[in-house]
Amino acid sequence: MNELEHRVLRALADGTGFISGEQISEEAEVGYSSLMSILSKLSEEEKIELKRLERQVAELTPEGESYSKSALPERKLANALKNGPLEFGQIAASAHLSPAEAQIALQWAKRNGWIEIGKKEGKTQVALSSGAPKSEEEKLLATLASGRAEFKSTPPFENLRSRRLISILDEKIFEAKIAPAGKMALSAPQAQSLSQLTPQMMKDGSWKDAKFREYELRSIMQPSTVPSGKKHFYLQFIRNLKEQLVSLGFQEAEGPFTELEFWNMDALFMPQDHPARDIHDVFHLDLGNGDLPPIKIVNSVTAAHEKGVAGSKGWGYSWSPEMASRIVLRSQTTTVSARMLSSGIKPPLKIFCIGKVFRPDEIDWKHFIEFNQCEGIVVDENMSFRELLGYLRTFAVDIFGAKPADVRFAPSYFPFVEPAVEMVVRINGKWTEVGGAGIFRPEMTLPLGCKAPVLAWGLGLDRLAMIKLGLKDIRDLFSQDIKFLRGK
Amino acid sequence: MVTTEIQKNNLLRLVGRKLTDAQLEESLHQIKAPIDSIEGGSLIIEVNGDRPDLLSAGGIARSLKGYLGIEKGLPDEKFKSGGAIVNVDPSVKGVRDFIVCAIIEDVKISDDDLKDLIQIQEKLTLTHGRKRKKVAIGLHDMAALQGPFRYKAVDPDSVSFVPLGKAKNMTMREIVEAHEKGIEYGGIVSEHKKWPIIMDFRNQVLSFPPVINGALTELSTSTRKIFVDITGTDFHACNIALNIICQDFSDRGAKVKTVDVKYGKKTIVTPETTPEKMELKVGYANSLLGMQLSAKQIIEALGKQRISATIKAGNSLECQIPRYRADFMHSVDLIEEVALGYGYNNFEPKPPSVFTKGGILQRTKLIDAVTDLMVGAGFLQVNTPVLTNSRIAAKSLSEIPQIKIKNPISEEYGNLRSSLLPQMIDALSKNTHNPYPQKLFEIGFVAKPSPKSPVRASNDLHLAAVFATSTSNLVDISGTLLDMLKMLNIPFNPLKTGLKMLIPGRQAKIEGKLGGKTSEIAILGEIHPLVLENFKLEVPVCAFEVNLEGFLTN
Repeated sequence: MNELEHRVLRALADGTGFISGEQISEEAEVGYSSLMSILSKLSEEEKIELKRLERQVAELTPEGESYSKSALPERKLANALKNGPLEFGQIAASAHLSPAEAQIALQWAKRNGWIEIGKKEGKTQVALSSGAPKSEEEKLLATLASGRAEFKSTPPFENLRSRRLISILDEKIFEAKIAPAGKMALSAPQAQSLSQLTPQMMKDGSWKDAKFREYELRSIMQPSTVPSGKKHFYLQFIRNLKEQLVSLGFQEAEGPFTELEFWNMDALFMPQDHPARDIHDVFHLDLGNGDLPPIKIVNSVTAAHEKGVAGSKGWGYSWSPEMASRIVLRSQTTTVSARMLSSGIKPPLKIFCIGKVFRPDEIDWKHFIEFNQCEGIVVDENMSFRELLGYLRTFAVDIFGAKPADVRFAPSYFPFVEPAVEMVVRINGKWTEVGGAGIFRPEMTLPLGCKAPVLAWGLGLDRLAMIKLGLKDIRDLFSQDIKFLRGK
Repeated sequence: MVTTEIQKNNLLRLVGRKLTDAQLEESLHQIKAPIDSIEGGSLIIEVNGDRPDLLSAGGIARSLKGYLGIEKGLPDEKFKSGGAIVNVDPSVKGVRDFIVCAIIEDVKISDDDLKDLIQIQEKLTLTHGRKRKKVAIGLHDMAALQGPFRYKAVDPDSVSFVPLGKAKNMTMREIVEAHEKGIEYGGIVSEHKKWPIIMDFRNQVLSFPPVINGALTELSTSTRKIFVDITGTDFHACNIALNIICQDFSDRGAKVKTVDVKYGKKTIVTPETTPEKMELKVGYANSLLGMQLSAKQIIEALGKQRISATIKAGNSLECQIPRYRADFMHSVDLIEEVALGYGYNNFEPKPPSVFTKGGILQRTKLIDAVTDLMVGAGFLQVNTPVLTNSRIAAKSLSEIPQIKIKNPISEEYGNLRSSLLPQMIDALSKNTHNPYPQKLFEIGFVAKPSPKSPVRASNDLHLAAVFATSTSNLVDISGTLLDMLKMLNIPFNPLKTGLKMLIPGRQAKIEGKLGGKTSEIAILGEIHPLVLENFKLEVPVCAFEVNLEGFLTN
């Protein structure tokens, strides 16, 4: 028997006969809503007798409520007559009643035996005949003003009902009475059990003899009203990915997301009239022009575009430093790889970067204009296309948990890599494009000062997270719904 | 990337082989023409910028035949002279310098062919032609024309003709001002005093490139002889477009004839049919691919990509590239063709061979530490976009200027956030139906104008937290913030501030010592009731925001 059950039994033992649910709740200090389940259990254990009843209760109608606050019309009439008899026609005005109420007042004052109606000088006159003691209806109205009461088929109830001052409702109630087994249980030693271990008990050692009351688990085990904190599911996904890449020997790198077109495009050997540089494909920032990198890098990139380098024909146009110094939101994290290559790196080197990129697009369930990209490069003398495929397969197997047989390669196109490849992986039974890769073109790497081949790969993380995390809408990654975030 | 629509039956007829849908899908993926979707008998094909020759069913069939081994090496591209002459007037220099032409005979055009032709023309000029700026294409019924032809630039008010889609004569200027194509493309030439025009011997107008053709030469299913004009600003790109179109007609069974284009005394015969030559060193190909292919294997692989190659001295190959291909600039471009011909899925991936030490950034370590602390203090992490709008910032009474996007897709995402708090308060306003207390935090980047930075903006990592409950006040949140500063060993000092977003007298800024320098690192306080009202919030909210950037150098 737990503490709540104990308290209920105690309350029943203190009373006599059947006690109403309301009274038990009050005396045992147990919420009315959880009382029923406790009583049911005690009744199953035959510790109490439980009666479930249905009764009719009376409740004031709005009209009844308003009379309970002022007075019934017949009382108003009696009050008016205290100053002397009134002629029939004067009643309504003197007693502050509507003509209809005056009729009702006369009818009930007469029934109550408060008034006499006579004739004087040919006119009908009303006068008090008694002290007009409080009527049964008035007493009931006062009782009901403080709450519902059980309906009885007595004249006052029936009269108020016929006057539509009360309405009758069905109500389910229960009553309980302690049974012999209940009394036994109360007298058992368990009844002296304690509700709380205290520092004092620890100090004086009395805990050794103490018995602790059992909890009613279902009523005590509730979610906390102050929920605990939680990391964001998608940011954790990204964090785990970083860990995997580190384990493969990759060093994390970073760069700004407000970026010079130079790094977003020119350094990647994308000609200045390339369709991907169109105003519809990159967000331009209202920041004027930025500062280009050191002139040596700018000159070698210019040469690659205009005349070509290392046996390349180049694009054959006049390169504009003005266009390259405009500031955009980066549309690819390859900007970070390009910056790294230009910083005088020494192979062998493996670098990765996870960052936000931005591309104008229609926003729908699978497109958003801001998303995370994961980019990586491997720089070394002996790097080859075959090893690039090896890295991609390693990612698919180690990071996405794919079987080697579920990895396929298809041709692709990115302006700054050749050969270009796209990895297709079977995830949850569906072939899914998970990333693009290739070997950076020499026209890109040489001007940045890197002579070794550079394997490069990039993954769009948001789409991948949708698949891995089972989301139906890419915008859920930015959800601000607390319930959703706590559930993820 | 663009998509192009081709008829499956037409494609299979051109290839001359039956393929199952699965075979077709895989083959198309491997020749760089993956299927985007299938609509009845039509295939919607994705085509990237490097392969404009795959925009037509003919081009795809040509590649597919190579991939399937039906035809290898260079396609037959020998065109005879058609005897026509185009005289290029020096007046076009600086306006639209180049024109290249061809004549197509024995043409039989069905309605489907006509649709195809219009599509190739549109898609080619859109991508390869940079919306007609670099390259524009005109196809003309030659029946009513008489050569020689002239390409020149003229006063836009001096010449009038009936343009396609209209029934009346219009001057070139009227076309640019009133014709829908004129409005769309007129801007390419309208800055010049004289505008380009192509006329025949009798001064009949074929075209006002790159804007509109004359109605006189409109193609129909009864057209038997076509004059092709390609004009533009890049001679090489014009030629590629011409060769793509001519090869397509040739594949459909028509006869392509060359045209003599005379630039003063210099005559150029177009389309050029001699294949482009490029050298490929076997050793370089093998080292970049990580293979040991013989010259013969490489020649075989290139042949499948419709490139013919022969062995030259010194273990190098001379490759002949068809003129309709646009994407050869360096021998790495040939090496991709070798890989494609060999088959990407025939390479045995090589396991990573180089050892390097991995590691995360200092920044990531800081994010980890701060995240753990905030979660430990009972805060729920949110992730909101960097792109935002001025409205949320204004409702928050934020005083930090935002960077604007010049070409936003909508006002909703027209600015970069300069602070995290406005979006956090906005997040609270979307959760008023959820139980309180609500404790949220975010760690993310903000951007602010920074004239001294080479990119004119700072990209700073911030942390912000909000605590909303009926009794929340500064004390609730300052503990968390100060615990963090203590944990990170940062000496700090709270000072009075007067931020509009926060209740006067119930806010502070925190100065900290970072890297020996004292600077403002955080603000905290109780959100002003005006702000709460703006967001329809009915509970008090206290908040802080920290610039974590300085912690990285500490």
